Formats: sequence, C-alpha cells, structure tokens
Amino acid sequence: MEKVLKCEKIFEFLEKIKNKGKLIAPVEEDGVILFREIKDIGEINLSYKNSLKPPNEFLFPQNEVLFKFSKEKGEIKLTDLELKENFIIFGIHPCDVRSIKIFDNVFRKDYLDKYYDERRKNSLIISLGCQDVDKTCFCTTFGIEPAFSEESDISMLEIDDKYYLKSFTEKGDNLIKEEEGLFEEVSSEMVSVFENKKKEIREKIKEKFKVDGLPEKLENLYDSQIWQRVSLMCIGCGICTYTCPTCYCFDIRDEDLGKEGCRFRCWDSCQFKDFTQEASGHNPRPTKRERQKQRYFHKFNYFFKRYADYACVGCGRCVRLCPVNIDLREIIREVGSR
Amino acid sequence: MSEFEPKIVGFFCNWCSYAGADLAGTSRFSYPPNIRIIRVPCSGRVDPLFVCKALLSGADAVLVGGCHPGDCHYSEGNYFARRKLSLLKRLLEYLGIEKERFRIEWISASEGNKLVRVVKEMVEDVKKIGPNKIRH
Amino acid sequence: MNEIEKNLRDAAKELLEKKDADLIIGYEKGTEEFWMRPCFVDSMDDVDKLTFNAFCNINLSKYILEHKDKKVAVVLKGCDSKSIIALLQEKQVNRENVKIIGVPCYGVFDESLIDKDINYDSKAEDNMKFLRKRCLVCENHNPVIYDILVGDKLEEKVWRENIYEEVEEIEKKPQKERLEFFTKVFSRCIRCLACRNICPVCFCKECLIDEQNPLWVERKVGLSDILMLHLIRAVHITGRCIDCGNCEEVCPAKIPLRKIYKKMEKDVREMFGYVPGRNIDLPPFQATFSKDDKDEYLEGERFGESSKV
Repeated sequence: MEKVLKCEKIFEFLEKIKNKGKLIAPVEEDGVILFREIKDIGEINLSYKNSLKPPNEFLFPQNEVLFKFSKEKGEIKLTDLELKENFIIFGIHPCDVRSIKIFDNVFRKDYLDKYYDERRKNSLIISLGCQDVDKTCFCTTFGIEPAFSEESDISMLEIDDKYYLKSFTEKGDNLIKEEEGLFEEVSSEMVSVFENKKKEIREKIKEKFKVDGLPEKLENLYDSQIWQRVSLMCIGCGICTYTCPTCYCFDIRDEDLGKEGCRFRCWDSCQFKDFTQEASGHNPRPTKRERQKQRYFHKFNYFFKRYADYACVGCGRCVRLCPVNIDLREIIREVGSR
Repeated sequence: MSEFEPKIVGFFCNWCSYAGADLAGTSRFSYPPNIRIIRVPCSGRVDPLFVCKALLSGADAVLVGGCHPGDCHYSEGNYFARRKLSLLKRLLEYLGIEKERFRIEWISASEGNKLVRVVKEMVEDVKKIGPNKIRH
Repeated sequence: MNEIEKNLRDAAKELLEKKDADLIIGYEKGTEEFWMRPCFVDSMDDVDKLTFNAFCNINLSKYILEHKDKKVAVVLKGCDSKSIIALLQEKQVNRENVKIIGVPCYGVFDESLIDKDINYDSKAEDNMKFLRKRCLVCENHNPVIYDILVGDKLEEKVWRENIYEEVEEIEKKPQKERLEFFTKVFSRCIRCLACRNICPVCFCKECLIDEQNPLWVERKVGLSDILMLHLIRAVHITGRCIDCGNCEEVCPAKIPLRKIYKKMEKDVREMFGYVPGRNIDLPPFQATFSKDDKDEYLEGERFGESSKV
C-alpha cells in the first residue's frame, strides 16, 4: 500500500502508534542519539544521522534474561520469561533495517533463537529515509538505498511538506488500514518527485567501494602485514563491535544472588582480550593482530561464505567512533585493490 | 504497613571495633539488628570498592569501624584507611549518594557504648532518608 | 610544514639512524579532515608521515607499555608527559628504553566545537573557544619530562582562572540533582571500556572489571553494574590521573567522565596536598598517608545545599 502523510500530521500518527504498543524512537541526549521507549512524543528526534547503539538492540538486547531460577523448600524452580509485549520501532534508517535482515540469518535460519524470534514477531518496523548523510556513510556499497528501505514493514520518506509511505508486509498494511483517516492518496507527480528525491540523497554518499571478490582477496591476505599495522593502533576496546548493527557475539552467564538468580546473555566483543581465553590459559587469538584480522574476516569472508551476505551495512559508526581512527573503509579499499 | 528497616553493612577491624561490638554484646547492651558485621583484620583492609559494592548490591548504608589513629594493631593500617575512605566519602556524596549512607568511626575495644550509639544513630538517619534506590 | 613538524621529523630521522629508537610513536593525518591518529614509524621511508598540529588529541603514552621489548621514542604534549611520571613512579617504564620527544602545546581543538574556518596550521591560542575543555584548565603546557624538545618553550599560563570550575558547578547542586545528573549520564554507558583502554594509568593485566573470581561487576548494563565499573576506575585512578582528557573524548556515549576524575584530583590536592604528574621521586599517592591527615575529612563535605537533610 502507498500513501501520503502531511508532515503536520506526523505527531498525530505517532500518538496513534503509541497506543498500539511500546513505541521506540530516536531521542537526543547531550548530543548523542539513542533509541528509547517514548513516553512523550515531543522528545522524538527525526532529523538524526546515526544513533549510538543500533536499533536492532531491541530485537537482540545488550542484556537479555533467558530464564530465572530460585530455590524454594529445597526444590529448584525455573521460570521461563514471557515476551508478549508488542513494540514498534519508528524512525530506523535503511542501513539499520538491513542489519535486521542480516540478523535473521543468524537467529532464524539454521537455528531458531526463540528469544530473537519472539521479539521479531512482536515488533513492527517503520523506517524513515535519510535526508542527509554523514561523511562516514557508505551504505550504497552494499546495495542499500539511504532514502528508502524496502525491507521494513512500513517505509517513509519526507519530501517537502509530506511523507511518502509504503508498506511491504501484511503487518504494515494492517497498520495503514487502521489509521486510514490520517493519510492521503499518492498522486502521479509524487511518484517522480519520490524517485528524484531518492537519487538526490543517494548521490550524497561520495564513495562506493568495490566489494566483489572481497572474500577471496581476504583469504590471500591472511598473513598480511595489514593486520599488524592496524593492530598497532588498536586499543582493544569494544566500540566498533558494540555500536555495529551486524555484530552479534554474546556471552551467556549465570547471575547468582544467593537464593535466586537468572541466566542471561550479554553482548561480548571479539576485540576483548578474554573473548577467546580458554580455561587452560591458552588464547588462540592472543594479540590484537589476530583479533582485528578476525573482525574483517568475519564480516567479509566467513559470514559471506555462510550466508552469501556481508556482515556490514555501511552505517559508518565504527569509522566515526573508533578512538584511534582505524577505518574499515580504508581497509576494504586496500584489500579490494589487491 | 511495616516500617522500612535499613540493611547496614559493617566492616569492623578485628582488634578494636569488632572487639568493641563483642563487648557491647557481653555487656548486654541492646542495639538494632539492622547491622550485619563483617570482620576484617584491619580497617586498612577495607578497600573503598567493598563499600561501593555493598551500596550497589542493595545495602542501605555502610559503617566502617577502625582503631583510633595511633592505636592500630598493625601500626599504620588505619592511617591508610583514613586517607582512602575520606576520599571515597567525598566521591560518593559528589555522585549524589546521601551522606548518611556511609560512615567511618574510630571505635576502640572498650567502647561498646560508642558502638551502640553509632549504630542507633545510623539506623535513625537512614530510616529518614529511605531505602537505597540504586541496587541490583 | 610548520616548525614543530620539521624538528619532529629531523629528530625521528636521527633517532632511527643512530639506532637510539627502533620505533617512533607519533601522529599522522587520519582518514577524514581534522582526524589525527597514532602513527608507528620504524623505517626512514615512513618518517614523513609524522606530523603535529592542534588536532593531535590522543595521549600516546599508553602505547609504550605494549613495546617494552624495544627502544621506543614517543611524541608527548605537556599533558601527556605527565602520565609518564605516573608510569615511572610505578615502575612500568624502563627510562633508558624510552626517548621522549616533547612538544610544548597551548591546546588541542575539539572538532565538534569548530564552527568557522580552521585549518591544520591554526593556533590554539588564537581560537580558544574551540579548544577541548581539558585544555582550558591545563597547568603544564610544556612537557615536564623529555629528551628532545621540538618546539619553543611556551609561557605557562592557565587559560581559565578556576581550574575546578566544572567540579564546583556540580558540588553546588543539591543532592537529588547530583544523583539525577549522574544517573542520567551513566545510563548511556555501553560498557565498551574505551575509557579504560585509552587511559595510560590503567595498565593492569587483569582488570577488576573483567575479573571473574571474585566477581566485582556482573556483565550487565543495569545502573548498579555500570556505576560499579566506573567507581572501580575512579578509585583506582585517584592520585594518578593527570587529566589528559582522553577518556571523555573517546567515550562514544559522551559521558562527562572528567567531572568525576577532576573531582578526585581536587580532593587529593586540597586534602592531602598531592599533585600527580610532577615529581618522579615521590612515591605513588595511594601508597602514602600522613599522621597529620585530619579526622574531620571522614565526615565528608558540606557543600551547597546538600547539608540540608
């Protein structure tokens, strides 16, 4: 379904959505964009470029309790958690929408992760196209259209004083039908204005990298000095992995509070020294060189071999936030040119 | 409606404050059961992080008891404690944790009554400010 | 090329030629405008990558600790050189293996504050409102320790009169506001630990934050876990942090960490008269005490309205 929504009605639309479930949208705090549960529509910021944590953290949270356990009268009681709450992620950019598709490979394909699956089934994704791009954005390299995603339930793009909307799933169709009164029909001029706007925004992204043949080129560079060079700068923090929308490594731990506790999973980073630390004391990735190499190989070789997709959406967060300016784009460019 | 009963964690040095608490007990002084005492060899053993961990794990207040300066069984332990813990006290207050939640007192082995007074005061003070909201 | 850059490259060439250093750690231009990043030079061919300007923000002292097996030369500004003092006091650095290339510096720009035409040659003293907050309270523009100085010594003057102004602003707030403020900013923490990893005085091979046995911090992002790890940092940094400001700069969530560490610095100075990063011969602060320390410090502070219960 295609519709048009006047810009002045956007808050009304958001109020209506807020009544259907938990509304998650971007807010700004001290210059940082965060996706949060919205209590007051007025706090939503829709003109942002990039958020701190990727919005798919609501499908795969940084901490997720898997089950609880407690000891009562000598018996151990296990409690499963119900994940029945509906939620709507609004204002997510096309790069981050693509990352949800990438996560679907990991959490739904060969093995069904019921926690991710429940959240995925209970969520509605309304994406908003970018109006402006950051100097570090390179989503077009991966065939992503910055102005308009076709992979969300509903996709929106602001054009002058209107939003152009289109739904791509049954869930999206239903929402539009429910709020029919707010929308207008799409005129024929709108279609060409829409195509032009998409092109205008797409062309703001300056560089598109060549990524065909990247997996094979990387294999030839397994022992290259590139990784040594990069590792000298790396400080081994978790910024690139924790802000990456396609990173999904996690640890499972038990929290023991005496008479009760829970088993939970938490994000983990392959850049941390103890990520591959074994109980014997051996660490197969002992230095930053192995860990940095692992990151690039995972994204552009191992993941590709398994799912025929690169584990990168060109959002640019790792480039912008790396404290020592290790630039993934620079590395892809160098590998691609070999 | 039951009144809020604060949970106070006490780190008492073995030679002075713990002995003082012992004396309070043998003298049959009565003091509130809100305090849970942990015996350490010396107040210098009290890592500021013990206090932080206690407060962040749900304790409503922490009391550290040591020997009077000059009387430390290990000569200098309580001098280190005085330095580390006065810095910690300021840091915790700066972060917004109420000043009543952390207290350091010099209680000697013969000061059973001082211990009783201090614990009673702390329980009253903490009851007034309510439970510690920053917890697991 | 400015004067400092020329001197820097000449010094690097000489060090490599005479084999006084196997590796030179300096700055090079990064991949976007005004991004400067660490650069590792071990051959004459790469010396020309080395550069210096008022955008060089990272404190390079941390990298020395990863190359203890070599002779290294490292480029340090005034503030950065103070971290070497802490490392020397704690015997983490073998002084003979490190050549310090000192650069007198009036300040480093904060890229996010720039709103007019600035270029790589722009001077800090002419554009003070774009400087990092840390630079406005700098007490040591000239390196306090160095082997080679590649710029002229600068007049020591502190740009802001009250160096603890930021701390006092928070001290003045009532207790509830302080708690609200810190709760709000720390709730953004994503536990990337970049603050710890970039910090030159955080060099423990087994950090308490990662320690499993005993478990100090569970790997959760609840407020109490996040506060615990930041408190671990604050308590361990006391008396050793020289306010290079990198922790706050690298934080992706823009948490104002310096407000805490500067507070520790203020208290250590006011209560115990110790200023870190000045004197190599003094023992590390956390290993000291005085019999004259005041008992009344144990009562905390009466600041602002917090004394009103």
